Amino acid sequence: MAEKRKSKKLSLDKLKEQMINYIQNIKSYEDWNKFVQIFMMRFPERKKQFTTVSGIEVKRLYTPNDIPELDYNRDIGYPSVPPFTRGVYPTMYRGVLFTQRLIAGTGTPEDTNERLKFLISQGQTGLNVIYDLPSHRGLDPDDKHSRGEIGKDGVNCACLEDMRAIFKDIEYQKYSVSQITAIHVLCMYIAMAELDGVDISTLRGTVQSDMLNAIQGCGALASDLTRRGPGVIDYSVEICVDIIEFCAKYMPKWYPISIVGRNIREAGADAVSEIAFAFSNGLAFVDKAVARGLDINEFGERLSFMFCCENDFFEEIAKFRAARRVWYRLMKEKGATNPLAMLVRMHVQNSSLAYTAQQPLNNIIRGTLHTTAAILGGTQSLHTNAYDEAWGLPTEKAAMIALRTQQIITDESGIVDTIDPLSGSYYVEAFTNELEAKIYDMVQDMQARGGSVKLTENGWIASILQRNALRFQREIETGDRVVVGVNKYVLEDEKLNIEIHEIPEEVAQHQIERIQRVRMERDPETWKTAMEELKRVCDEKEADAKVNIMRALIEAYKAGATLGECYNTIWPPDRFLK
Amino acid sequence: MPKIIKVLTAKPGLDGHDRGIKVVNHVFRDAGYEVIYIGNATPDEIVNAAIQEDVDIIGLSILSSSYKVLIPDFIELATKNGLMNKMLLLGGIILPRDQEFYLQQGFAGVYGPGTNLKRVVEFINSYFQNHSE
Repeated sequence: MAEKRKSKKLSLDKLKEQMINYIQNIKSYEDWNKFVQIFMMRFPERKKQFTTVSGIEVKRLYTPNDIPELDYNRDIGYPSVPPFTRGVYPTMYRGVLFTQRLIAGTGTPEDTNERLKFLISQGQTGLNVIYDLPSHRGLDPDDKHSRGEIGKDGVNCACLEDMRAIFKDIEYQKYSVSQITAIHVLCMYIAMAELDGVDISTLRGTVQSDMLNAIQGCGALASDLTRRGPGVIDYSVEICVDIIEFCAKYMPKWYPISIVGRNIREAGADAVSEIAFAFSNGLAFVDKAVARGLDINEFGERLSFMFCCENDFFEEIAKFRAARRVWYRLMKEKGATNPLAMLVRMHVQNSSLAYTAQQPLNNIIRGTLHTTAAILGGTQSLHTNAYDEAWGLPTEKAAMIALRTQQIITDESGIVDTIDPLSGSYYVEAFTNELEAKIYDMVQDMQARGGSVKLTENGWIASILQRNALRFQREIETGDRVVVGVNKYVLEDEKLNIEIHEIPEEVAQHQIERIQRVRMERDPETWKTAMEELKRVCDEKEADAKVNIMRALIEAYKAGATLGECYNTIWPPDRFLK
Repeated sequence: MPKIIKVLTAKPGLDGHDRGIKVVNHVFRDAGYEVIYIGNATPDEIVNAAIQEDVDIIGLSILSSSYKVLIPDFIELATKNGLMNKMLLLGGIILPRDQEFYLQQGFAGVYGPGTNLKRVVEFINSYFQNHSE
């Protein structure tokens, strides 16, 4: 026994001596690599292969050899200077922090008004209102399809009076207001501002409005719209262009569209396809806007983007950096010459999918990592999900911790004090290059296949999303993808121990009563005239895509029209079946 | 045990989060079941489809708290139409107290995020083996 131990000790000593010898003679990457191979014979790595969340291989080490062609001025450059790798503004967060913009939207308009005021009182710098499913889908609260849905996944808003209740006693014209919805809510907002005597050219904010993302990321909307017949997706894109055109003329400080990668990501895309799908969708809007005679150098300045931030810290940072380079390249190829029209101004909402229902407080840590990655990636606006995201809309407590997460990072950590601090990292630069190439190639491939409208219609995008979602699920089930609390470090017999925000069912009654009262109280003649005008304009648009429906829609809401009435005028079930 | 287990899957209401149910459909098909997925539907559309297709399992997925209205609606209609003897499965974001309640009401399984689908398939297979006598 002692003999054996002695010989083992001897061989260890010998190995150590050999190692020291080796280390002293390492002069190149090749030498080091040889050493590592020998080292690993005794101490193997934890895994055969290391890959990112998106399945891209991660090397053991990155060195200058991974970025041999990198030219600082050409490929990285300076903040606010093409190709915008380092960010879109000259001083970035040293000048202005990203907008701390937590989503609010729950129950009745009055409930949401209260939440918005709370968030403002806690130092939030922008407003971000999310609407419920009936409001997204153009259904009045008393429609049978709205049953059970009122105020559940956002605030219910089906008429001008609802909109006024959401913003009651809030000087909305002073805030940048993001609206997670589409044309209808924007028109209600404009109607409210005009009736309040606010000069709409001063309004700041964003409307999500990206119909392509909505259709690709949401099966319900896709099937509802496609049921209305062929051509509906194309028509929907034209509606988005109406917003772009209207804002270009009358609301120069408004972002008329937020081209969304985030929801497609959550539906199954990876880091590459998230950006590629969003940019391909973006090009569809650009092409249609140009066809309408709009100047790419003008409307290009008002395009904004929304991306996800998933678990893989460096992949996400590289993704944001690469995205800015790719969009710059794509817009240049489209003929843009104004550098401000080639910028990716982005809002980030971190991944909800990455949050677990199990051990929900762990999500605070995930949120912190995602938030940090988004900031290191240079976002302009940021929503951090609350820890109870996997259970429902956030409680006030959970929402506040999410806001504090951002505030601790910005005010305590120093991360925001210098611009793009990871630039120059061999890994980050090499990965940024790799993602740039992959995203650009995928966008080109999609253009060659006919572009986003066609690829949405023929299911190409849906099939990629599904394939990825399935791969993801399998990786979790085999344990290849670790989800703490779900397939590793699991608590047996875990009990839900957080408070959940529940929406009382009375919300529905409140909203049904209001919409019915609004219909009774409005002046029937004014309403009828406005609805006939809206229908006339929509019919005209069907024949000539260039016709803009925005003004007619704004006037309809002023005249007391409801969401359902307007939606069915714009997308009537029979319009596309001819 | 039925020769081929026939499943109707649907998303009650308007909830668009269909990533989960589409993965479930795929896993069920891989397990050899016949899957009829009707997407978003009202509770009465779901019940009608289940009757017409004469399925063995009705699987519902819902990630919105609208389940609190739509699942009771479904149970009422399913009871009225004699469907409560079918295997009923529910997946999504369902609060623990409601999970227990629906299990008492006749659902065979209620599943939340992070569910291992292999186990669900095992559960279904053993359910039909036990119910075949």
